[in-house]
Amino acid sequence: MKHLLAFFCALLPWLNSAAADIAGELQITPSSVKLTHAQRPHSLLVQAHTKDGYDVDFTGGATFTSNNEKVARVDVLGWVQPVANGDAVITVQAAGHTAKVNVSVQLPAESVGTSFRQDVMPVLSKGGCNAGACHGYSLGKNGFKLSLRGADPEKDYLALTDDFAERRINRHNTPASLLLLKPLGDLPHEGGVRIDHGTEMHETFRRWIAEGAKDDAPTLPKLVSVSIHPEKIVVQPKSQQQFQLVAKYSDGTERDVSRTGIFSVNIERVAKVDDVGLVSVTDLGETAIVARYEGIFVVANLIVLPPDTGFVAAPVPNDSVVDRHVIAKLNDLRIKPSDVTDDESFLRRASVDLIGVQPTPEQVLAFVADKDAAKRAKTIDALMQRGEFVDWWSLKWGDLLQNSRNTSSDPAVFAFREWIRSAVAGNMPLDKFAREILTARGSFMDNPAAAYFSVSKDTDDTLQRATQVFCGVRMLCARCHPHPFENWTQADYYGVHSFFNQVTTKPDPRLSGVVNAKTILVNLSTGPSTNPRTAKPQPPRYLGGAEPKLEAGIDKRTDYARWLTAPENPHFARSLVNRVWSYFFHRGIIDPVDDLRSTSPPINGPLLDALTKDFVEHKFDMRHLMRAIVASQTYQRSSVPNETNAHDDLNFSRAIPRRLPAEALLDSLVQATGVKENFGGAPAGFTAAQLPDGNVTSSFLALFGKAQRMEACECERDLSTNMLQALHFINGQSILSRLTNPAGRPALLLAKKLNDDEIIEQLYLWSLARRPIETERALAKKFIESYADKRADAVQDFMWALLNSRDFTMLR
Amino acid sequence: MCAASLHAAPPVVTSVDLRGLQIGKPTTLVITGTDLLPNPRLLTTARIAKQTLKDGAKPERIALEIELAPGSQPGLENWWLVTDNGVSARSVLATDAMPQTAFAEKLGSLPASLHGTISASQVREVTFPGKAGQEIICEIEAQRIESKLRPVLKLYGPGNALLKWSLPLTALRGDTRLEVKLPADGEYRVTLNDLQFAAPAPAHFRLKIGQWSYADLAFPSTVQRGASAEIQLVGRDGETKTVRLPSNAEGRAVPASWADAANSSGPQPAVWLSDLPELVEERTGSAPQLLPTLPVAVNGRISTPGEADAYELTVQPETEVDIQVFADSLGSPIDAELELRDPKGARLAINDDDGKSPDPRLTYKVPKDVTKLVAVVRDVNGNGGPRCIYRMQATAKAAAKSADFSLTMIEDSHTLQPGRAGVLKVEAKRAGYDGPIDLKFEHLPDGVKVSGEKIPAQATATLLTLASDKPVTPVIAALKGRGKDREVPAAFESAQLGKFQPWLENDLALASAAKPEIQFDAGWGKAADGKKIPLAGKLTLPVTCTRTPGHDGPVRLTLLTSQARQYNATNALDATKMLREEKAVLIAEDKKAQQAFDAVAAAEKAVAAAEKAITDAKDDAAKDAATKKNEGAQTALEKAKQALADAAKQMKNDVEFALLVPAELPEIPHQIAFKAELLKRDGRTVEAVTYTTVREVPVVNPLVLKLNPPAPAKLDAKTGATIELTGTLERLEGATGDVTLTIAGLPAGVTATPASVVVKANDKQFKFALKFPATIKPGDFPGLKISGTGKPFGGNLNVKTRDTGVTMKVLPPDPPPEPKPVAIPAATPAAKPAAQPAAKPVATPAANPVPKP
Repeated sequence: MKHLLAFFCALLPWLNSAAADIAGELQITPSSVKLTHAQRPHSLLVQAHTKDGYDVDFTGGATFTSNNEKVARVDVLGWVQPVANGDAVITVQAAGHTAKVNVSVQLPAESVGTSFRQDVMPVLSKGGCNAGACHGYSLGKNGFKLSLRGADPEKDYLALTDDFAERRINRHNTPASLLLLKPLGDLPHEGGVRIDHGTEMHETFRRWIAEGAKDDAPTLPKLVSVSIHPEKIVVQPKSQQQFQLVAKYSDGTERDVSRTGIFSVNIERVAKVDDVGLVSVTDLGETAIVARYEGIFVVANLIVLPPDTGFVAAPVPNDSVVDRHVIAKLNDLRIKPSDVTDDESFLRRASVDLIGVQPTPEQVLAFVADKDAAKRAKTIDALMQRGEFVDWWSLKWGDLLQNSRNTSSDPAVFAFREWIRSAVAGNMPLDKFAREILTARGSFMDNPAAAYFSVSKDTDDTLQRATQVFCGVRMLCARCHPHPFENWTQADYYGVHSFFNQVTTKPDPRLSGVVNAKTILVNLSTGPSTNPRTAKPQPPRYLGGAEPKLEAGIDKRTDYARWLTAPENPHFARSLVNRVWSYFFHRGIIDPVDDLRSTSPPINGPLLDALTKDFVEHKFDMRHLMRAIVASQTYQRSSVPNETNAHDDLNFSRAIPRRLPAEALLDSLVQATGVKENFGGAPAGFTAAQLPDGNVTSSFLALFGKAQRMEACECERDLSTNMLQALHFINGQSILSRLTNPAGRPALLLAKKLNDDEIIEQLYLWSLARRPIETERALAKKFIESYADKRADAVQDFMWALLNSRDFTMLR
Repeated sequence: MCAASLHAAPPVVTSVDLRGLQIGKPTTLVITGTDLLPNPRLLTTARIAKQTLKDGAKPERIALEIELAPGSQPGLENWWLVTDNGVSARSVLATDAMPQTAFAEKLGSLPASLHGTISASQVREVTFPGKAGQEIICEIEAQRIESKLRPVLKLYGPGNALLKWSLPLTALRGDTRLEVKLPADGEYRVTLNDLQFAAPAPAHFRLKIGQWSYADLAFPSTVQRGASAEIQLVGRDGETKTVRLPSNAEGRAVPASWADAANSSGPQPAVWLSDLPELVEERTGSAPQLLPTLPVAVNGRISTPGEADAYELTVQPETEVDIQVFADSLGSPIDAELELRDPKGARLAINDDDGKSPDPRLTYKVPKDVTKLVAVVRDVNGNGGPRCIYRMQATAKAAAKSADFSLTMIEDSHTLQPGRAGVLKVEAKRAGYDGPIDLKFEHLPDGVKVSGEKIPAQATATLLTLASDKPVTPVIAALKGRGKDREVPAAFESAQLGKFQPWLENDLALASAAKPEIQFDAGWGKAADGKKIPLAGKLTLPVTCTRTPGHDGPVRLTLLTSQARQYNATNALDATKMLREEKAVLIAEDKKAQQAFDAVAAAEKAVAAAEKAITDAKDDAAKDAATKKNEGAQTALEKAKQALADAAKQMKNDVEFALLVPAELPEIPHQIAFKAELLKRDGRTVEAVTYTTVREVPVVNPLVLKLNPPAPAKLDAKTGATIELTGTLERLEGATGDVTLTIAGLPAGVTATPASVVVKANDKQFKFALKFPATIKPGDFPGLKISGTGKPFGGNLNVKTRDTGVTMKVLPPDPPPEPKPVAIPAATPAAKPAAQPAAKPVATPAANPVPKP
């Protein structure tokens, strides 16, 4: 009843849109229907394009008529029900247009029974019976346990038909079955009413029990894929769109499963979806519509645009792989990008992003004075030649690879640090970088990269770290059950596990008595890992891929690393490109960057695809990738929004202000004030970016979210802002003691006997890496003059104000 | 009783700017330190043609120009600095044909050998011009020249591109090297830092850049003593060059000669000498290589990645075999694993690391009827290549336990005082040999007398006394020890050199000081006579020193004993196991004597001034006044001198030294001596050194167990036998406290009552009752041992008495009494006694005494 109500409510916008100015014919999905099962009807989606480029859904407002109801009937919602063998034609009328759909009904001679796997299991999932909060919980609920989200139909069948002397079904009195009474609410059920009387879900359970609650024959076709329709639409706010979900089986048959699939939207600000796939659009923006059916996820893209008021598309550039796809997408979204930012902002942003510290006054002035049209490109190259570039990117890799004295010995941490630094300094291709890490063995003295494995507590840890860093995939969930938001199963998990299960450690005999001194060994005789659910060995299986035939006695990691870094690998290059991209913007093209899954689609798929292709074609050259990003206009855009992109913070139409990472903030502060930081637990003279790990004493770095290397996740680094940080800048010794230090910048500038104008400019350059604009200069002069003869105090206080401004703590 | 002092301390070298000498050209070494004069010169194992002291020498800085003799070989050499006041501690330098210069930031040409040091997180850089295609080696010698730097090298090309880098390498004993063909013309930059950016001192290094030949390893690594052999030198890219080792090589190891000495640099690889038959791997197929009977050793190589080398051993059934693989210890890059299989391939045992070493070792008891075993050697990491050498040694365990020992010199140099004696400690590390070791110097200068040249049986060290009546020419001597049929060289301790240049460890520099001008003596107080070393107790020894006025600083005393240093499980020195000072001993400076001395000096100055005034007087009046003043000054001087003489008499020069004694020491006399150092008033600078004589002090166990001979007991067939064991516990050297006695080695079935006896502090007597069961076979029961433990001097140290053995005697029971004759009725045939059941023996009170409670 509630669905019917929703349907009528939903009719209103459709009726409104019926008057839309349609371009071309109605589009019916599918264009023809073949029905082979008496209980499996198929829906028809009715859509059209408007002349101004929107998609309109007429499904709810269309009229459907069958020319042969003895063969096929059609209801008002467009669901076609088979009646008898033969052909029929469905006529669809909407918005003054007519379309026809051929229907072929080919029912088997004998009626087909209800399938446990194909019919009952989807209802259990749809009803939420096998969800983690219900009977899918690891211990079940109230004595009844189902596998989580239907991962194990064999066990579920026994749980329903065999447990407690078959008490859950009554083969002699079907309506008396607990399987019906409880979810229908006819008996007390802690989970409440899960299905309504008379619905298809009710009927499925009833029919299956009445037919004897049979198990499926081994020849039952298997589900091989699921598709969602439409895959991509562009609509206006306040519209609605019905989505259709179609399952495909191994015998080639298809089935409309829209009513038993499970739908969700990624950004609920943009749209909401009901439980039969009807999406109601609420706001401008873009979101993915995610549908799950029996462990398979599919995603559709929904774009909500404002009414067209004369948007002029920007020319799509061809000289930048980044700009080409970003502009194309912005044009699709009718967004005009912000202008390219000024030289000073560019230099500060590029310096902080590439080398982890803002430019010095000398560098700013030289860059501004340079009249070369190619000066930005030249500067990018020059920054990548700097020693700080090695510091900065080695720090990032050190974080991701979790190089830490918590888990490795002191010398091993420094050796691995040197290895990472040499890889960055030598621009080691990232495929080689990954291979060398993932196949490392021995002592850190033999192979420093072996320290990567010292971090892992066990093979599970290695697997999860390796897939997260080099594929951007989180596999932890699949260790115990199918991944809730992705297609990974335990077979996938233990398949990858089998590649890494040869790795063991022993105390490093050369470093007797040294804490965490380990040597990495590879036991070549180790067989495949065991899937604890099936208790069977799981042969090595590439992530979401094939199971290779590997010779016995080899280091299986070598094969995994080869597969991982192959140009055609779907995870490696793509995840790294996405990760590197995120370092230069406020987010990844897919975000978060270390939780990539089909249900979290890229915000700009063509951009990610093109950058990935370019990255692979350039042999996994990280500097090439960075150059492509930083040299793009997309990266160099101003953070000042225009009237078309103020609402957009996803499509890189403008720079989104972001706080400097902890190390960059501290090193920039040190450079600005001229007073070094001494870190307890680190070699003397090290900058924050050079620190060997997180085991150092620095309240500043802790407050601003330095990664502690406990997890292989970007999320460990905290880039948020909070009140404590603000208070630290206002009152903390990190700032105050530096400003009042006799060797600090204010004192150094005062010693040069500069006039007010000069000193103000120097303070701006050192603090904000830019010159003051005229209003700022005037204000500053007034401020300094107000201190009269207390010039030293004035300079210190003014620099304090600059360092406390968002222009220092943020990249704009 | 007393020995005289040195006038001035021997030289102390704190740094040297270059740690290398160029062959073919003079090299100037700038040495800094203290007491570097007079007459400084290098004493070295290198052959020097000429050395000249450069102008401007100061006691704290000298420059010596050294010219090596023609034909000198590249390698590492020991060196010491000798002055007329003695000899410095040893150091190492390299020799090769490269120009040796102090570290510079820019090089004009190659090759170059740059010397310097690194502090903490410092990164040192040098640039040099390079040409495209030029092949370059950059190498650091640091650990190999006894530095603690853990070097990391990086080579950057034009455009700041990192071309190559290298970490500390096992094969280079922790040093590092990189080799590269330069990609373009331009300026290249080499950086050097400590791996952990915290270089421990000393952190000196030699950075070589250029092209040269080197050899890191010799294969075979080991040759049977007395045999000649072809030796492959493993060098660049694993290339090998063959040299010949003559059959007359001696010592533990010898340097392999260079194949191309003129162009070579670096340490010469060691060829080790052994007494086992040394074979070389012969691999012709996959079958195990058959080795001759044990003991045997084979030198092999894991030539290709993943290779496993198998050897068939012929063994004696029911014996233990000891199989050991040496790889890491030879400088091989492999982490060897040793597997023992039966001939059918089944695994019997496997070992990866033997304790603290990556090298494996297995001891296997051969089962009955087994005569063949297969030993397999491989690298756990699957590496292979020309450098992956190893040596496997298989011996019968009994043979492996053969009597062995090694000798360690605590010092690598010693300054002799003409006419006086000095003390040198030599330790023996015993490995199965407990007998006496006779020591003998080689190359000892004429006139040097040595005493204490024997390490007694069980002793772990000796204090050698060296004395000469006249100054001797500085020499590099060697000390050898002979025990039973084995002669071994004594070596000083160098963690690095001993592994790869062991021949350098055997050098001891001897030089003379000038005749002492300062009277500084040290000797024993009379109360030292008759002292004993009580286990777990305290030994107080009186020491007397004599200082002369003006040389009146504090005296630092250092204990020397004939006990070797003791280590705990983590290889750290364990003071609790050693004879040691209760606290650091210093004879304090005497302020009164110092003031008196200063007063004399001031008075002498006043007299001199007064005398000068008389001379300078321009008239009689002035002369009279000056004369009067002089008289006063003279009087004051006399008084000051008298005060000084009084103060000198009252100077406190005696001290009582309390030594703490561990609970365990061999009960043999131990040698004790003190090194006395007279310090200047600053309390730091050593002004003179002297030694007491070496005194032998017996070790005494303060708990002595004395047993009364136990009376034999007759076995009772019913109740067994009981033997009473009594005795006394004597406490010596003032020992007190309870002592708990226990018995070990009781035969099966025999019980002691009580199981342990506590002899209370105020008691001496003890008694055990040993109960023998009736079923025991009469006879002698040796092997019982009684011992006691207690804390004789309080504290935590438990002292154990000596085990006191005792033999019990259990006599057989009396035979059963003859049955009395019984009258037999005539009609009844006599029954055979044997057919009767044996009569049960009847216990008599005499034969079965009831033990007293």
